[in-house]
Amino acid sequence: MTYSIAIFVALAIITIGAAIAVVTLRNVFHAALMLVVAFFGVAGFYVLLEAGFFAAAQVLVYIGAISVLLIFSVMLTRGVFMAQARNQQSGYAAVAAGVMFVLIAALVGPIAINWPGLRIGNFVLPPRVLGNPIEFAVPSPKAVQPDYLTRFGSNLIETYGVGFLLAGVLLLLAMVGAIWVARERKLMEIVLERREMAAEAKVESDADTAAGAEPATPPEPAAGAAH
Amino acid sequence: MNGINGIPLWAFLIIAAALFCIGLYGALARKNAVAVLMGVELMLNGVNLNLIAFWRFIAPDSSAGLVFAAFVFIVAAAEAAVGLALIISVYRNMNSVDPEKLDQMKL
Repeated sequence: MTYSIAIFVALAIITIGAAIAVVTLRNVFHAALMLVVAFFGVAGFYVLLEAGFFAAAQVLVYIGAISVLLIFSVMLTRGVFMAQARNQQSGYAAVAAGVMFVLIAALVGPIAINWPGLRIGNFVLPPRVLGNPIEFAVPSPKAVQPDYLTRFGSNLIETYGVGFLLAGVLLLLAMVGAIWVARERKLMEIVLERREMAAEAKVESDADTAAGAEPATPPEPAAGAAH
Repeated sequence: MNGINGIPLWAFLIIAAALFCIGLYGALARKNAVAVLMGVELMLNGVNLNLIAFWRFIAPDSSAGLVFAAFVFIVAAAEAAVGLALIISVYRNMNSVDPEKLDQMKL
């Protein structure tokens, strides 16, 4: 039992440390690598939770596909390595993240701490904020049945079949859309695209000056505009 | 407090909350759009950890939590692909991945 607790603490330190490194490192490539470490940590948590299939899926999908995609994107958007890590709103962002964590911890607190009616003056907090009996999370949970994966598979296709098919359609659309948006454009295509963007901007700025407003700023990027 | 092998539920939830909040900070406070997406992926991992932890502790004989987590996996992968394609396209047009430079739709 203590082995599990030691493993949990070690995994927690690794995962949270890697996550902090992801959002703090100035070199985006190093941040991507630390993200891989964080994903491995989360896969370890899934193993602790006896959901081995999801640990494997995490490694395959997040590390094997999404992290590779992220590293590709870091490589393809080079020249921006040495910029600053944080923007101007980083202070507010830290405050927001901190407040969010406190709020979530306040939700988790009643599960962890057992207060039988906390009294503050005349105000008494109910014994269980969630209103459920004590079996909510405190005792040991039921054992996972050995065929949980089979039932997960059949439920995914039978009970949640519509969502499963929609997820397939979503993946298809995402792949086609991503390939189309990020496709390599020939030189002539780029020239025509820029000409189109300039023409649109000119029409807009003419309309704006006719209406008395300020002239428009630089042409709108036509990212993914249909041809 | 009993849990699985001595680890209680709230420990997993706090870890998931920490992952979510660190990802939130990363999504809000980074100057590189790819790093913003990394923050979003951290948030999604926190959510998934929450789902699996609740599945294990509350209803290990049902599959609803697992199916929900599977859908989060799928949607996260799709969204990462499309988001990164957009970032690459923006980089080609503007030669920058600073999300603060994308303000043409501001009033």
